[in-house]
Amino acid sequence: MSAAPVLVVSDLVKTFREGAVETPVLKGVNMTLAEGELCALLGPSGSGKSTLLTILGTLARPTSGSHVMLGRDLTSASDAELTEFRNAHIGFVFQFHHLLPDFTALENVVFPAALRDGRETARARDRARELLARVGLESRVDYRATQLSGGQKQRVAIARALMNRPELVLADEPTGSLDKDSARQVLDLIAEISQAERTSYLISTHDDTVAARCRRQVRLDNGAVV
Amino acid sequence: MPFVLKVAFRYLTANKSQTALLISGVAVGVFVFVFMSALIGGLAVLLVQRTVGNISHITIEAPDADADAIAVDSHIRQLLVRQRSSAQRTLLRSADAFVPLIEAMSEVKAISPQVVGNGFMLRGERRAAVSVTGVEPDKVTAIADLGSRLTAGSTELTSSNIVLGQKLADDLGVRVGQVVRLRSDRGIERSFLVGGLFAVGVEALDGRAAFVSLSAARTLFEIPQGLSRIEVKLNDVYQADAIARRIAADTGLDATPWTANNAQLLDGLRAQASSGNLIKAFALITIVIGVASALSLSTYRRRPEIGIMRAMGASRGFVTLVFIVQGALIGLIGGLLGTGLGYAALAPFPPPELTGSAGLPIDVRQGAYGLALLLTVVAATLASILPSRSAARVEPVTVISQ
Repeated sequence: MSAAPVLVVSDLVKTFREGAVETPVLKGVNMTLAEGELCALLGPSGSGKSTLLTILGTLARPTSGSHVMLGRDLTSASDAELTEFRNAHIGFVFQFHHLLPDFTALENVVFPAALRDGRETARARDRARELLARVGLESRVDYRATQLSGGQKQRVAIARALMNRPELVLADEPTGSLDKDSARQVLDLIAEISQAERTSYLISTHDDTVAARCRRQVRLDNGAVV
Repeated sequence: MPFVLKVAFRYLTANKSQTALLISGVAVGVFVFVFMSALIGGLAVLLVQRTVGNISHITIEAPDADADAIAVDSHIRQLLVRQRSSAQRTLLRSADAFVPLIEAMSEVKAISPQVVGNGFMLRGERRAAVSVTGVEPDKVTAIADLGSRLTAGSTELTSSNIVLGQKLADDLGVRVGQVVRLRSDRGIERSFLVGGLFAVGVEALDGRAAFVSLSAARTLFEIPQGLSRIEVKLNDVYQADAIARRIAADTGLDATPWTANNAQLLDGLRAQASSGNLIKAFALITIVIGVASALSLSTYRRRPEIGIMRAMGASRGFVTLVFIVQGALIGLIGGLLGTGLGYAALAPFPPPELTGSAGLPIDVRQGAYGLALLLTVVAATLASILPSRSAARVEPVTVISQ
């Protein structure tokens, strides 16, 4: 018997309104994501990939449709409930890493757990050190984000995304700003962690190399899965 | 350490020079607040001390009896009364019973039962009108600090000596050790040996006052029993109204506080305090504007970071609190620095009572340090509310996609 899917979206619609002008971006997206699945989200620019990621990441709300994650209908959840849910169950890896520049690598990784616990616990720091070691940055633990290279920053971002052991990690062009070697290292890491921690990944990309590393590809075109 | 405090502290220390400038600005505002409090307080102490330092704070007299009504006509609303003779004196006949009661009050510093009257002082061909005050021998300096204002002799009173104002003595041409004759308005004449001369800088005292012993005054003014008045000096001059009401209620006598005859001084002090409060309010407003503008810039600059925090699961409340805590910390550190500097700068000033005419009457005790610190923390915290609310409204999706 297969496990229940981590994510189920049905007829997801997102329309942006500016005055009287309506711009439909997502036009009824349907998709599921299984536990530990590594899935690429492909599509040309303007196809709605980033909008879909922000909705799946609970950073934006759909205009209509159903968004269920871990069996919970998120379309009716309050802002505070979504914030808490996001902190506990979703990790993000952005194209430009988006680390907090005034904090060290360790502090950046601990951040999601500290938000949850209200303080930095020793246990969270141990887990953060372990994650940084896993992404090969044990020697950079106390470096400020500004002192790290692009590849190192992205690896710290991956460690941060995994801090609270989320069921889903959403990655938006995670290798887009990296050179070839760094991109390969990051993809290896994502594949390894997905396997080891049974974390589901949805990776938005234009890069066929990245898509080829994923077991499944979902193509979005003109706001719908094709 | 709570995580919100750590984040707020990290943001404050991220740009040390900017934060140092902001805190310095707050400290200067607090310094102005402390300085104005000490200056206005010191001025008040000086003015009050110079005005009421040598006068009675409460004067107790027998209540005036209502004038006798002679004729009343309700149709034309005319009332005819008999004027009291100026020679008729109202005495505190049973005052002896009240003296120990009043003296025992904790707020009372000194008490001086007195027999007073008018007369002429004669020295050869010269004569001068005098206001004679008969006091108990050990109470001559109880109300007016004549001891420190003596120009010659001593304040010691016996039944045969007299202490005079320097100007009065000059007018009569007498010195300590010489004899003067005193004729009371009752026509009784006695000779006294001049025991001491004083100059307090008040014309009414220096040019007209003569102090004799209570027993001598009883003889001069034919008052074998009772008192003309009781003068009371308090530890705190500002309690005069309340204590006077209490004495009047307890004894049934007329108790007049110094404030009743110094309304202009009180108005002046109030106006002075209002001006000081206005300056202090402006200092606080400057702090609020400084903190609000600095935090507004900070929240604008940190919009991407706020978006990332929100994406990681930071609630709007957490973001709000980060910036409010920053405001409070700026207020606390700036407040401590400002009050500390204020105290250090004001401490060398002598008490206002000892300030010379050219010096600033600074009262370091009235720096209102606690109030300044409290108001600064509150003001800086309030100033951070608007920027923090603006920070909490940042939508992560808009800044992440930039």
